[in-house]
Amino acid sequence: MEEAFTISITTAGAGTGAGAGASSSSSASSSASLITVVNMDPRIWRHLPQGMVDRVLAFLPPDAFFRARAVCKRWYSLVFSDSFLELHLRLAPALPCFVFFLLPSTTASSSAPSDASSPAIAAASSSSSRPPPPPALLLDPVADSWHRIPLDAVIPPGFSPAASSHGVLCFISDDAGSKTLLLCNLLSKLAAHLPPSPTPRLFPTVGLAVGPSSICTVLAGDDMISPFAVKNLTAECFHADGVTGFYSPWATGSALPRLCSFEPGRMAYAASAGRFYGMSCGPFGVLSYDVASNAWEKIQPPMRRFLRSPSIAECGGGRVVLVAAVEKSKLSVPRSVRVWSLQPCGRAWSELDRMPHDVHSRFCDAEAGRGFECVGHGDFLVITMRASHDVLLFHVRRKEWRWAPPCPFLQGPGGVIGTLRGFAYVPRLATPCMALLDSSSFMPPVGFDG
Amino acid sequence: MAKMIKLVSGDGAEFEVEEEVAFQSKIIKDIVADADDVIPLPTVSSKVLIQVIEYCRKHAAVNSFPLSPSSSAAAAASSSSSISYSKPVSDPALRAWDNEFVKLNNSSLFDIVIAANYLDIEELVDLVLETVADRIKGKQAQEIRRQFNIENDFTPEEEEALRRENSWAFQNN
Repeated sequence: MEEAFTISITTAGAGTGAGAGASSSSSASSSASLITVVNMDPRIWRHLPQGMVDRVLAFLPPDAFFRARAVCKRWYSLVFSDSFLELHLRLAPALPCFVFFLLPSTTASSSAPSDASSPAIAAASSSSSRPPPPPALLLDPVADSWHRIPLDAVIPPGFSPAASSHGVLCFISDDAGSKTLLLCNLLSKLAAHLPPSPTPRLFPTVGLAVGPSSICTVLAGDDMISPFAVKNLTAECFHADGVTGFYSPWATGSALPRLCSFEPGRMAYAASAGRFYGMSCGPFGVLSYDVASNAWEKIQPPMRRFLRSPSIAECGGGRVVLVAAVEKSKLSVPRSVRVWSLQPCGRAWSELDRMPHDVHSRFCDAEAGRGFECVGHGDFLVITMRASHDVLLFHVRRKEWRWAPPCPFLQGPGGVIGTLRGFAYVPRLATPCMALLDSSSFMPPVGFDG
Repeated sequence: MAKMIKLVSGDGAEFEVEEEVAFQSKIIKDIVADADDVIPLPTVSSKVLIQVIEYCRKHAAVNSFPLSPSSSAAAAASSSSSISYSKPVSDPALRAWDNEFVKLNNSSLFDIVIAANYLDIEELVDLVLETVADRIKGKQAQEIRRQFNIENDFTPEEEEALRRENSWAFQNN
C-alpha cells in the first residue's frame, strides 16, 4: 500500500511529527479513538458553512428530515427551495420501501369477470358512498419500521391506489367510465391529475413508470362495451418526456391478447427491458407490454396447471419474478409457495426459491386458502394475504424469509380485518416528473375553500 | 515512472504524489493544467493533507477517470431521456474502507471537510457530510440546534403546528 506514496519533509517545521513515521494508515491519526464518536462538538460544527449544512440535511432519511424542519425557519423552508430540492434529488439515499393500503376484504379483487355481463357492474356504477382514501402505511424493510401517512388532505374521496413508481403514487377514479389518474408525492403532499382517459372502463389495471423527467402510464382492460358489459379488449398509454418534448396523452392504443384478464389487477415495470408485466388468469398466463413497440405478448408461466394465486413482481436489477402456490391435487407432492425468476430470453423460468417449511406452515395458517399477492422492490419481495394483516418478506439475494413486524397502526380491538395492498415506494422529497403535468392539473388541498 | 506533483502544506511540508492521485482534487487538476507542478496549499496543514492524500490515493486506484464518479453519474442522469432513476452501484469494499476512514474525532473530520471543499474533492466532502447526517438523524430539534448553534425562531404555537403537519415523522415505533 505504501510503495507509491512518498513523503519528503524538507523543513524542520513545528516538529509535530505529523508526517514522519505516519504509515499513512487511515486510523493512524485516530488510533487513540477507534470508537466512533457519536457526540458532535458544537464548538467545532457551529463553524460549518451554510452550504454544507444544507448538504447534511439532504443526506437525512425522510423521517429525520421532517423532524429537522422543526429546528428553524430556514431549515423548514428548504423544502420550497428549488436548489435544495435539486441537491436532495442527487444526494438523498433511495430507500427501497413499501406503502400499504388497507382495503376492505370484499373489494380486494378489483377486476370484474371478463365475460359478457355482470350484475356487479351496475351496482358499482350506482354506488353513492365515497369513502376517503385510507392512510398510507409506509414500511422500511431494512429498518423494520412503520410510519402512517394520512392522505385525506391530498387525495379527494372516490379514488383508490392503483400503481407506484419511485417516489410517485398513482390513484385512479372509482367511477365507471372515462378514468382520471392522480399522481401524488406522499412527502410533499402534491397531487396532480392526468387528462382523463378516453375509453370508458370499469376497473382497469394501471402500470406506472416515471423517471426524473418522464411519465409513462398504461391503462389496460375492463373496456365497457356497453353500460352493463365489460371485456378486456384494449390498453392505452400516456407518455410525457421532458427531455425530448414528447407528449402523447392517451394517443397510443393497443389491443390486448385474446381471452386475458388481469388478476390481481397489478402491473410491474422492468426498466431494463422497457416492459410492463401482469398476471392473467383463466388459464394462467403472464402478459407483457413492450412500451417502445406498443405491443402485448403472452408468456406461459411455469407449472401452469398447478398454480394458485400467482402474481408478478419486479425486484432490483429488472428481475421479473412470479410467486405462486403450487398445488398438485392428484400427486402426493406437498403444497409449497415458490418464486420463479424470468430468464433473459424472456420466455423461460427458473425456480429461485420456495418457502421453507416453518415459514410455509405459518403462512398457510394466516392465508387459509383465501389468496395472496406479491410486490417487489430492490432486494425485497413482500407477500400479503387476503383478510390478514400479516406481511411476509423475502430477501431475493440472501434467500431469507421473515415476517415483518406487525404494523402498529392496524392493531385495534374489534377492527375489521381488511386486505393490505402493497406498492413499491421510494420516499422522495422532490418528484420532478410531476412538473410535466400542466400547472392547472394540480389539486388544491382537500378541505380548503379556494 | 508516473508523473509526480508536489503539494506543499501550510506548515511547509512537501508531499510528492502521483498525478492521478492529486487529480482527485479538481482545483489541483486545473492548476496543473497551467503547467505548474508545485502547488502551495497554505490553508491545509500537513496532518490534514496526509489524510486527504490517503483518501485520494485509495479512490484514484478504484476510479479509472480523474473526474469524481458522482459528477459523471449526475451528468449521465440529466442527459438521459430514457426513464432512468438508476444510480451506479457503489463498490462494497470501497464503501467499507470509507466507513473506516471517517472514524475520526470531530476536529479531524471538520478539518478534512473544509480542506476537501477547498480542494474541490466532491466525494470526500459528501462522505464527511453523510457521516454528520448519520450522527444527527436520531437527535431531537433542540439537540441539533445546540450542535450547529442555531437559534430557534419558531413560536411554541408554530412548532406545535409543524409537528401536527408532519406527525408521521414524529411517531415512535
